[in-house]
Amino acid sequence: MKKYLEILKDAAITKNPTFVQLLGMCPTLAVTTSLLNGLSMGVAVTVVLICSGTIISLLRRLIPDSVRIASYIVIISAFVTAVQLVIRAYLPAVDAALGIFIPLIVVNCIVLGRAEAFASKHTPGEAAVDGLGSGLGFTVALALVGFVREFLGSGTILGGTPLELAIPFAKPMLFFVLPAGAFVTLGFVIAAVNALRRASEKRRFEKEKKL
Amino acid sequence: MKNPILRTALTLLLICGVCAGLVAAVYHVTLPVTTAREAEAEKALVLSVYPEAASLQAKELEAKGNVEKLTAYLDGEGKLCGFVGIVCGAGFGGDIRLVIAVTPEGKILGAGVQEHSETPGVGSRAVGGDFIASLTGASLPVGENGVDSVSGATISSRAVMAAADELLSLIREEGKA
Repeated sequence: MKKYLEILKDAAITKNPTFVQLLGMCPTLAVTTSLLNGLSMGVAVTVVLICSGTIISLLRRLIPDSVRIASYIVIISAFVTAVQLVIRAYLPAVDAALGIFIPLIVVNCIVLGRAEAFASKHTPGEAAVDGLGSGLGFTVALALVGFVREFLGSGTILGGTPLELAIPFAKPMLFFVLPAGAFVTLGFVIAAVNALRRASEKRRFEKEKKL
Repeated sequence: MKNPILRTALTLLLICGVCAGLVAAVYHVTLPVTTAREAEAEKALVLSVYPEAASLQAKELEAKGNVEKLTAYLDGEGKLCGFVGIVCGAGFGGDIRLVIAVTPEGKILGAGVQEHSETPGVGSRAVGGDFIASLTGASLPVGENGVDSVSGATISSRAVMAAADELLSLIREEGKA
């Protein structure tokens, strides 16, 4: 149990795909125009990560080394296509908002990266937990960037859903919804996360020094 | 198996086959849901631009060019009451798909946007309420009959106007025939 928690923490926090490894920047910048878009993209990627990680780990002894990348891509694209079909059928609004970025999960470097670096070397259970951790880390990052961009750029929180909160008296800054706003927001969010991380490391260091 | 190349190829083939099967199964399950939902959404949009459609008889006409679908609506005695067309315009970010209701005389009764990918806040103003509403009452060519393009969203608004013009001229041809 402890081992799984360790894997989860490692994948989601210590090696957070977005904030630490800076992987998967294309969807991070493109779809985070709102909190809901960021969240749904994150969940779609998480599902693909868990499924493909488990299957690749199960097949790791069967897949010949020379065609492993091809095999991983085929497995990943099958799950991505399945996820896309399900989203199109049951969540048409999400399909319209994310559009081309759902099929593009196939070439998301987090998914192939975890397959090659982790799933192909660990047991299916560990690979599934690693997929869950990476996916959660990615989802939280996307939701954070999406929240900031939607709040500043459209002046709403969860706009267009039954839970919509509109901010009165303020004029939204369109800039944050546009692509340039994505880069600026991501930069500031990473800076804030790094500052928090450094502060917590410093606290831990001082604690150890006292002992 | 002795031959390593054969083993590699067969393994890859097997993986591809199983994956294709998985996708086919999911497709098979979701297809009816997807088609039903899309048809329902289109019907709702048609009713929102042309509420009378509910009580009239629909008759599919031949669509051409950027007009994807053209339906004539007839009353109980077979008298033509109006048209509803689905037409695409080439916007800034991709196709803008419009649903437009037209009288038999060629006047726009109402219009709605089915799908677009214009820049939020810029081109999207040409697919938003005010501009689309200004199409109501216009006739061919809409640019000279009461519709002004939105400044700052010229390409998007011209795409909408061109699409409306194309539909109106097709309906005019239809009326002659």
